Amino acid sequence: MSPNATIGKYSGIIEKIFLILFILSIFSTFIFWWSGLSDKNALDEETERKFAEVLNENFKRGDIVFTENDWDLDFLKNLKSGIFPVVLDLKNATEKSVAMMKNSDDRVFLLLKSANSREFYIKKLNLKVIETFKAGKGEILLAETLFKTTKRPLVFSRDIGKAKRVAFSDGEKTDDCRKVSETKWQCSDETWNYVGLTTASFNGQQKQAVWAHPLTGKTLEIVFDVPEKSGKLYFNSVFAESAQRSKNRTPVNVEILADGKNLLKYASPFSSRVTEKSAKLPENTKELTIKLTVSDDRQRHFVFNGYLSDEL
Amino acid sequence: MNFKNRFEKIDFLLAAAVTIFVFLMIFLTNDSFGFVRDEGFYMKAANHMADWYESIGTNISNGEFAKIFSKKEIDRYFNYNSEHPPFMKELFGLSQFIFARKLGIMSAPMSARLVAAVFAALTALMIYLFGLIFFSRMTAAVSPLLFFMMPHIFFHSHLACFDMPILFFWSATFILYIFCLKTKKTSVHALTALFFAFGMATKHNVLFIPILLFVSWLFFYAFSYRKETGCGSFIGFFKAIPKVFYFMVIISLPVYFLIWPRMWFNTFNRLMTYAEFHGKHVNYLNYYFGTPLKNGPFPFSFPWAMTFFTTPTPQLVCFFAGILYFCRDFLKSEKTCGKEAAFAMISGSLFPIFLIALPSVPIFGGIKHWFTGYPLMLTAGVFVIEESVKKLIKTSNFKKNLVISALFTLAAVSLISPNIKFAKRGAAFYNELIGGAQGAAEARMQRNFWGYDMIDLADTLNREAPKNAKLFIMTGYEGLNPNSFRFMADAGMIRSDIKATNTLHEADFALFFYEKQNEHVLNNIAYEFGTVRPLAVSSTDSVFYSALFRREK
Repeated sequence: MSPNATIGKYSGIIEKIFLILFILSIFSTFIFWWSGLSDKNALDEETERKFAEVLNENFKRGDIVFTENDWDLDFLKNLKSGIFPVVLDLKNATEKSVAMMKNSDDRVFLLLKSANSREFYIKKLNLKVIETFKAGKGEILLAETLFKTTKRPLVFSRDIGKAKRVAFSDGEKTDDCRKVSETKWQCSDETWNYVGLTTASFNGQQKQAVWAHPLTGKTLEIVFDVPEKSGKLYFNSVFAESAQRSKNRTPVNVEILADGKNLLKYASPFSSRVTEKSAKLPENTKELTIKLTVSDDRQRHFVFNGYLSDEL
Repeated sequence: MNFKNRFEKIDFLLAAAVTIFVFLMIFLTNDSFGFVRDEGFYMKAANHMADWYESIGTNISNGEFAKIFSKKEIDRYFNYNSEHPPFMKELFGLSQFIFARKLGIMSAPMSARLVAAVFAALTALMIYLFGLIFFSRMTAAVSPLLFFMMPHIFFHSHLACFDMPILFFWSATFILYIFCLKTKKTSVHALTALFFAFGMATKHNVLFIPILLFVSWLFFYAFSYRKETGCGSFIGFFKAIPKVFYFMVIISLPVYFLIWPRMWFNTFNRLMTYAEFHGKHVNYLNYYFGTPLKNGPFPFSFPWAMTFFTTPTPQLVCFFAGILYFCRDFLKSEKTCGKEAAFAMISGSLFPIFLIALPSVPIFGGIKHWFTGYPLMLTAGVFVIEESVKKLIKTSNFKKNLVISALFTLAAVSLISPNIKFAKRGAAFYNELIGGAQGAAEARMQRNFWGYDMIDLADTLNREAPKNAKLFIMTGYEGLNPNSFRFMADAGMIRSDIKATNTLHEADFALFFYEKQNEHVLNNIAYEFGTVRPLAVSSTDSVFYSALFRREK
């Protein structure tokens, strides 16, 4: 048999296979797109209504809502004002990340697509369930985390509004930033030139953080009074994902002073990985100053979070 | 790849019907999509071009002919968006000059989208001719319709960008090269080179074509042509090179420079800057099965899997069948020229995907950067299906054609639903192999691209926003480009008194364009506005893509 005859023989069979596949593809297109299959995993109206209802009745300021489904968010339309944050990253959440995101005794709401995943998340996140609500086909867990954390008298993201002073200085002149809300200090009319609460990805986990975009030739100073019983500083810094495309690879220089004396000094590199630092506070420290400088401020979408703990 | 059919009288009718139908489908729905990020830049460049045409008139009437092409004048109008060649922007500007400024029958942004509709129609015509000449009349008539029934293609066909035009130039240049292989006519080779010049002046993608084709020709020369033609000597080698390659130097390059006046001055430096921009292009972060692709090396599978999951399944089967057809043609052809033609079709179809698959090549965004070869493999695939039916059914030709027509009609009907569902957001389409929009969202794929998806929100915004309200457009996070916002106001999609801002603090309303990497912006809005309750949401199959928020504190 000549090579062409062999090709002809096999191509005939393959042609038939493609015809069958083509016919099957028509059927699959009809079945999937015309029968409602493409929308089969959406939350039903009852579940959405109940999600909103439970949150509207039970949510307290400081609580955090986690949703298992991060794409069908119709229940948001029925929420009352003041119910946030709604974190769409439950699947990636860990015991530690949830505990670190919330403040002290705050609770978490888990909006689950069904009761099937209840035990999985309770175990994964080390939760103590306070109450369970049935919500259509879904379920809502109101819980607190059992993850042991030290007491944190000062949390930079939570307490940014309590900063004693936020300002830019160039050595000669100091421009104070204006406190515009409990979570934000506006430093100029520029879009990005503020120090305030945001959320950002810390090694893949969305966490509350402080946005602090430094300026070339100036020092951004953020000053806090140190609460009593503060023993140790934890400080994490990273660049927001919006900066990741930048060609500018300049690091942000971080200097942290306890009562004017150097406590921590490092260059936070342009990287998607978090730089984690800690240092013991000198006894009776009264004031903590965070100084940020950069030699090229283009796209330096710098964020940090951290806290002072009561560890001695 | 042999010539199978001639263009007959009926083809005037069929080709015209297909071309006009596609043009009308695209042009009459050109306000279905918001303006994508790139359109903001190109429409602004079109303004500059329209200004240039105005200035030419003024300079001519003042008798200052030399001024028209002076460096100062050229730089003034051509420096903006100089990282891309100007051909499409010149056409957008010309359309604006005629239809918006002189005739006043459409807005400036829509005059740019008119050019997009024309290129969609030209692409339909190209596919028809390709199908007719190399395959069959049935394939010719069916292929353009199936091509434009891919939601991603339908979406990009509307945009005043370079992606559909470069798809047209890419595929058509490969088709014309086959003509060059089959005929020795100098005019065909020269016309191919001239056509290629316009492709070069549209986008840099086509610069790979001469390299690809010449390297493949060299291969065939070394193994076959040299012996077949007796051109084995040093001089013989140069005689054997197809004329089109010479014409690409002596015709394409000069025409390319003629179309791009900015390159007449500081040529070397400007060419280097142009090359450097694309050589060191930034990577756009994409979520791919839950992994944010930030820095290389990128997975080789990325564009292959994205093609697999973003093409409707009937067309996907045709892609595979088309590639198989070209491979079979390559193996079966007894003449070297036939083998080279088949190889050109394979490389024209797959090279764009292969290039983006290279781990060191940045990801530029959606499938638009590698769909340039789709028409070739789709058309061949449609022919494979047609031939299979013909071989399977032993009956009269009339009945065979009836069955084939019914089969393709059924395919087209099945595709109506997904096309309607994604009529406003074709860039977000995923097929049933991944579970549609919901499956892709569960798999944590990039949900949408280019920050355009706000048509569903515009009515609510226009109705609810007080006069001179400020809208946060999320520019810093792959949201709406401020230029695009401005042009949407010009086109009447958004009330003209509403102002765009990138400062949440001063905004009365906020747009939120969902992407995994931007999830935190939702809570930024909530902290600032005091609520996470949206005023309006845009979604398909319950998957949410963007939302509008109103300040409540």
